[in-house]
Parts: sequence; C-alpha cells; structure tokens
Amino acid sequence: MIGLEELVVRTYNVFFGASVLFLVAVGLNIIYGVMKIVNLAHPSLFMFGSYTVAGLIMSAVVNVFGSSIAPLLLLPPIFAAIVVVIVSLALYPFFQFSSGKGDEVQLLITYGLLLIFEDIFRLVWGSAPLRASQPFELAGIFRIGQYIVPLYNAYVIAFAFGVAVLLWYFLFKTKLGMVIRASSMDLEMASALGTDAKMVLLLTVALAGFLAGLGGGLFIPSTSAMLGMSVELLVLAFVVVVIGGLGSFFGSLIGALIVSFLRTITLIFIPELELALLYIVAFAVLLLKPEGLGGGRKW
Amino acid sequence: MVERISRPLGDDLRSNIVLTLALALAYPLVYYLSPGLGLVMGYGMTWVSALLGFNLLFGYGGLLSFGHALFLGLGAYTAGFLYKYLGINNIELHILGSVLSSLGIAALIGPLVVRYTKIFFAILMLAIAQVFWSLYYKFFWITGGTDGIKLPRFTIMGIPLEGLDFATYHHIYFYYVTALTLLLTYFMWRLVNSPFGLALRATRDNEVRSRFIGIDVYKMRLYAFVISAVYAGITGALAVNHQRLVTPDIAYWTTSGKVVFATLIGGSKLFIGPVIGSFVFHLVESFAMRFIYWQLIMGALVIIIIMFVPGGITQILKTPFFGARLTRRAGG
Amino acid sequence: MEVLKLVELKKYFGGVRALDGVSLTLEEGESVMLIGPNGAGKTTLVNAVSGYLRVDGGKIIFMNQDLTDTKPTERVRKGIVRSFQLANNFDKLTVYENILVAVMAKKQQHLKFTKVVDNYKEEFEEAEQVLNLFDLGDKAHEYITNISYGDRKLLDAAIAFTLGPKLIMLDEPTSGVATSEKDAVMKKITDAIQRTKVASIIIEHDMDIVFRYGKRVVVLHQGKIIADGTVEQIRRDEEVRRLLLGGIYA
Ligand SMILES: Nc1ncnc2c1ncn2[C@@H]1O[C@H](COP(=O)(O)OP(=O)(O)OP(=O)(O)O)[C@@H](O)[C@H]1O
Ligand SMILES: [Mg+2]
Repeated sequence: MIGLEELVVRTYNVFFGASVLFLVAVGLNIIYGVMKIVNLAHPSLFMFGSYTVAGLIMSAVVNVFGSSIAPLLLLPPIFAAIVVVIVSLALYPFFQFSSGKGDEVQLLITYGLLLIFEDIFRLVWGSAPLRASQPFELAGIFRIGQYIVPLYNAYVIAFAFGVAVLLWYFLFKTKLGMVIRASSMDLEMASALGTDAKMVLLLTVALAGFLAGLGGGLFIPSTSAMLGMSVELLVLAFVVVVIGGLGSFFGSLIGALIVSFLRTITLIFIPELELALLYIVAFAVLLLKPEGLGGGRKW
Repeated sequence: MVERISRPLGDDLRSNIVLTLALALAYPLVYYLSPGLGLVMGYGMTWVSALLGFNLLFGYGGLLSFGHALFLGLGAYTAGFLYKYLGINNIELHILGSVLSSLGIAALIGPLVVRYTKIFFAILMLAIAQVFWSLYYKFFWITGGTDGIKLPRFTIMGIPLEGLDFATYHHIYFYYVTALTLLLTYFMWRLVNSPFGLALRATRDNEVRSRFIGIDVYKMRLYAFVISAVYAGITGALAVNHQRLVTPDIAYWTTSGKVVFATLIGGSKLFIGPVIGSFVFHLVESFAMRFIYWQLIMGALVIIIIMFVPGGITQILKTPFFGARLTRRAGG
Repeated sequence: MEVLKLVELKKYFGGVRALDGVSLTLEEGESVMLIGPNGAGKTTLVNAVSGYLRVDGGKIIFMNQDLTDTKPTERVRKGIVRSFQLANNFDKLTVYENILVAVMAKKQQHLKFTKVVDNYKEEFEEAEQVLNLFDLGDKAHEYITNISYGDRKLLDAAIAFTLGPKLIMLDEPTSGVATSEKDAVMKKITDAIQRTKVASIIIEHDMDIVFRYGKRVVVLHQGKIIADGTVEQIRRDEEVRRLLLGGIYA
C-alpha cells in the first residue's frame, strides 16, 4: 500500500518528468504545426541547451556570481536559449529545403542533423557525463516525511508552468501568435493576408529553438548530460506527441503528463517494461483516437 | 506494336547476379592483399539481405522504416538464444530461427504499423525498435545485457569448423553467405518484378488511385512489411555469427540508421542500389570508424546525398553505366 | 435493369450541403452527362458513389445491392469505377505500367508473386489493346512526369476503362486538355463507352461538348438535381440557361 507521503513524492516526480517532456514536445509540435516538419533533431537542440549549460555557461556564471542562487537559476537557461536560437536559425536552410518535399526528405535530413549533433557533443564536450549541478545543490532539499526531495525540481516545474502560460498567452492572445497559428492552417492564405511567410517561418524556428534551449538549460542541473539522451528524449517525446496529438499545444501538455505518469508507475512496478508499456498506450491511442487525446484541436 | 517491360541496367536480374559473382571472384584477391578489407567484404555481403528487405519497403513500397534494427536484433538474439539455451550453433537452424522470429513479430506489429505511413510509420518503427533494444538491455539475466552472448564457431549442416585457421573459416563464411545472398537476391528480384511488386510500386506512388483500381493497400503493405522483416532478420543471424557476439548494439537505433544510410548511398531507385550500398557503406564505415566522429561524417553524407544526389551511387554511375536501357521486344 | 439507384443522398461539409437529397437512376448502358456550376456538388456525388466519401444520409443501390457502407475496393470489384478531376496516375511508373497494374488489379492478380510480370502474356496484350485504343501506344514507355497533362487525364480515364466496369464515372475528363484536343479525347471516351456498353456518368463543364456528345443530361445545383432530361430539353430549360449558359446560348 502506498502511503500518503509516498504518493506526494511520486506525484512531485510525475510533474517534474512532465515538465521536461512538455518542454521538449511543445517545440516539436510548434515546428510541425507551422512547417509540417517532424524535426528529429529537435531533442538534439534541447540537449544542445543542456550541454551549453553543463559545459560552458554554468561554470562561467559560478565564476562571476559565486554562489548567489538567483543568477544561477535564471542565467543559464536564458543563455542556453539564446545559443540554441542561433543554432536553430543556422539550420533554417535545411528546414526550408525539407518543407514541402516528400516526407522521407525531411526525416532523413533531420536524422542527418541528429547524427551530426551527437558527434558535435562528443567532439566538444567528450563522452563522459557532464554535470551542472550547482543550482541543484544550492537549492537544497526538503523533507516529506521520511523522503528527501530536491527543491530544484520544484523550480523546474514552476518554470515550465510559467513557460506554458506565457506561451499560451503568446500563441492565443497576441497578434504575432495569431499569425503563427493562422500560418499553421494555411501558409499561403496567411501570406495572402499580408504576412511575410518567411518571417513567420524564421520566427517559428526561433521559437522552437528558444523553448528547446530554455528547457535543456533548465533541466540539466537535475541530471547529467550524456550522449544518446537526444534519442531517448526523441522516443519519449514521440509518445507524448502521439498521445496528445501531433501539432497541438494542449496535446503537448496532456501527453507529457500522461507519459510521465505512466513512466513513474511502471518504474515502480515493472521497470523493465517502461518503454514497452508506453508504446502499448501510444498504440491504443493511435487506434482509438488517431488525432490524439488533445481532441484533434489544431493548437 | 509496343515494347513490353523495359528495365534499366541495375534493375535487371543479370547485372545483380553478375555483380555478386564478381565480388565473390574478387574476394580471394582482396583478402590476400588485405585481410581487413576481406572482413569488410564479409560485412558487405552479410548486409545485402537486410538492405534488400529495407528497400522493398522504402524503394518499392514508399515506407521509410527507422527501426529495421528491430529485425536485425530479433535475428541476432534468436541465434544467440538458440546457442545459449539449446546449445545450437548450426547456422541453418540459426537462419531458420531468425526467419521465424522476425516473421512472427512482424506479423504481430505489422497490422498496427502499416496503417500509418510517412512520418508516423518511420517513427513508430524507431520507437518499437527502441522498446526491443531496451528489453535486451534490461533483461540482462536472460540476454547477457551489454556483455551479450558469445557464440562459438557455427557448424554448416552439422559439420564443425572448429579446427580450421581463421582465414579458412572466414572464407567459408563468406562463400556461404554469398550463396545465400544469391538465392535471396533472386527471390527478391522475382518479388519486385511480379504483379505484387508492380502493385506495391503503385501504392507507393498513389495510395488513393490504387484503392480506386481495387488494390487493398493495407494488405500489400503488410505483406511487404513481413517479407522485409524476414530479410533483415536473416542478416541479424548472419552478422552475429560473423562477429561471434550478440549485444544490444545490433538492435540499437544506430543500426537502423546504418540500414537507411547504406541504402541511400547505393541508391534506392534501382534494385542494385542497396547491393552496391552495402559494400560501399561498410568500406566507408571501416575508414570512418578510425575517426571517432564517424556519425558526423555519416550525418553530413546523408544530408549531402538527400540534397544533391538523391539517387545515390547509382545516380552518379547512371550516365556511364545505368543510362543504357535494356529493352525486350514483344513476342509477336 | 437498373445499374445504379441513388436514394436521397446527403453529404454535408459543415454548413455546406454538397449533396442535399440526390435521387438518380441509371439503366444498364445508359450515359449521363452531369453538369452544374462550380461547387454544385458534382465531384461530391462521384466521391459518394465511388466510396471516397461516406455519405451522411441516403442509399447507394448498385445492381440491386446496397453498397452504401462498403469500402472503395469492394465497389471497384463490383464494377463501380471512376477517374479524378485532377489527373491521378502512378507517377513513377510508365504509361504502360499504369495500365498493366490496372489489368492485374482487375484480375485480382496483384497479390501474386510467384511469376514475374513478363510471363503474363494475356495481361500484356490486354494492356496494349487499351494503350492502342486510347492512342497512348507511342508514349507507352514514358514516365508520367514526361507526358502532357491532357495525356494524363486520358490515361486516368483509360485506367478506369481497363478495369472493365459496369458503371464508369469520369470527373471532367476534358478539363485541362488543350481546346483543340478536347474533341479527340471525348471521341475516344464515347467510343469506349459505346463499345463496352458500360453505364456512365461524365462530369463536363464545356457546354459545346455537352451538346455534342450528351444524350441524357442531369443538372446539379447546390446539391440538388434541378433538371434531368435529354440534351434538347436541357437546352430549352429556362432555369438551366440562366444558371449555366449565361448569355452565350441565349
Ligand atoms: N472535402 C471537402 N471538405 C469540405 N468541403 C468540401 C469538400 N469537398 C467539397 N466541398 C464543398 O462542397 C461543395 C461541392 O463541391 P464539389 O467539389 O462537389 O463541386 P463541383 O460541382 O465538383 O465543382 P467544380 O465544378 O468546381 O469541380 C463545395 O462548396 C465545396 O467547397
Ligand atoms: Mg468537381
């Protein structure tokens, strides 16, 4: 029997996992929504954010600000986001080339990028796991009964929640967001209405990159950056996207929560079957509700 | 009177058989000059089956699988388990076992995955393959985990090869696989040139029109999927007998990537493409592997091929060789 | 005998009533020209009868069988065959292979894999006949991307005829065909219809063609049949004139 304390701790973990997955999946969905590209290299961009923080920014921030917590919490993810936006924009020609071509073209090109990123990480940061745990340690722990829980993860959850709200506001309440959503329906139509199509695409790529970098930079103090994580995240993010519905903002939220919940459950009871169970659920959703649990809404 | 079927060079059976036989003839010399390259040829020959299978789905069926490591892994672990738990190191039984296991699993997941095409199919396959990989990895008390399962030398029709020196053993392996590859090439060629193959290409080009001439697209794809799986499974069983070690690596997504990549290098548009691709890929890999950043090279090559030479090597060779069309006249 | 009987077919797209209770009967071997302004629901009617779309109401009776809820492939097998408004071929096959695959599909041989296609002599001959009938013989080995749009439309219709249908529906077979070739295309199609005695529904926009080749003409407007009669009757019909002919034939 699971006690109340354990339940609280597990729930906390579910929300932490969901926050990370949401940050990966939402960018994937935004790019897909507007450009109709499934960017296999998107999780690599997320990891690019993680590596930038772990391998570069965190120590710099620590050097400058010592152990004052606020800059350590805020600066690394923001720097990572800026770096990844630049990287994403540099990749724009590849996205542009893939867009509108056969699906195998975009899959293979973004797959090529994924391979390249993997070795760039290896080349620049080596193959040993890389940590950036200073804010994690500074934030300390708190106790729930007999359980010790890291406080930093609460920060990640809150931050992701903040990002979700701001993103929602941006996409649904601002003019620019409206343009982006309109473009996802019909790019030609949007450009006929006087929107500069190329600007919208660049903006979309930048936004997805921003979210990836931010997410990667935020998440990394809780763990360590390792080679192969991009693909693990890709495989998980894909379940999120399938469950939530491809191209949907709300779907990313729902999907991330469900996947994180399922993972936590299986990791308690049958850890070996973690991925297998996730995919059984994803399959069930695909079969019963092909448009995803997001209700088939576009955003 | 109009001409009947015309097949460009590379799509005909003869050029495929000739290529394989030429490689078989060249092998002793290559091995003599450089045993390392001889081994590379061994890998090349071993992978032909998987690539032919992959290209049945991709080139002919328009379904891009990012998870063929699933079937290579199944073939590999079937061989591994047959030895580990039943003491069987007879290569015919390994092959038979891998055929059955990949057929079984493909028949199980096929009905689900072939309902999807394009991105969904590609990533579902990637994901399912990763699930299997995670199983090999996590159930280490059954699979040996990352240490894997070591295989002894195989036997052919029960004849042991233990006493031989390594070179002789490898030559036997190479020619055994060559013979098998010739057979598999022949069957695959028949398949893609049968009414089934023609209809499969039709479903690739235009799913809707296919339906409205009465083709059951789902069934076509399912059959192609299962056959493709079996071909990949066979390579799995052969490859681990070549390396004499079964580890989760063969089921990892990087293996799927290699399948895609090798096919692209050769070119997916002609039957012979994957055959050429298998050898060229392993040659490239053997050089690239010396450089630890070989994924970078591969990734860059994938992008360059897709953007500039989507037909792979066969496209480059097209002007001098494959440009000539073989045409057959109608009888009567 | 009645080949096709449509009873109160309905298809709605949101607020748009693309088919708003269409009832229509076709006798064996009967030819119908289906006309109507843009957006009248003509293509939707073909989509509904061929199984491309599920209808929201009504019945599709074909040779005394209710096919309303069947799959497209089943309807093809029963003999309902169509072409498309935008040429719809197998782009990476040759013209010859386009026809050949239709021959194979008709004979349900597309799942056979024991013999290579070269051995299917009869099927080749059948394909060649079709090619010759539609004057596509000299382009037999061209890929679809290398032939004119008019030829693609013709090929689309030829594929439909290859399937040996009992009911053929051609969605604007002459749209996108150069004006000078429209007559030639239409002639090949009507010849084929007469020879095979197949019942047909042909959607057509060009009123010249309708008056020259039409026998029975059905006029669709806002999802409803507003006129159904001989060419002569339709030519005289006031409402149809207003709707379709504008000043030209007034
Ligand atoms: N798949 C669809 N989704 C939404 N609306 C549709 C769809 N197909 C058709 N419609 C609408 O239904 C109505 C009838 O369209 P349909 O294509 O049948 O017209 P049509 O008579 O063939 O016109 P045209 O002469 O332009 O080909 C139109 O208003 C069209 O916009
Ligand atoms: Mg129409």
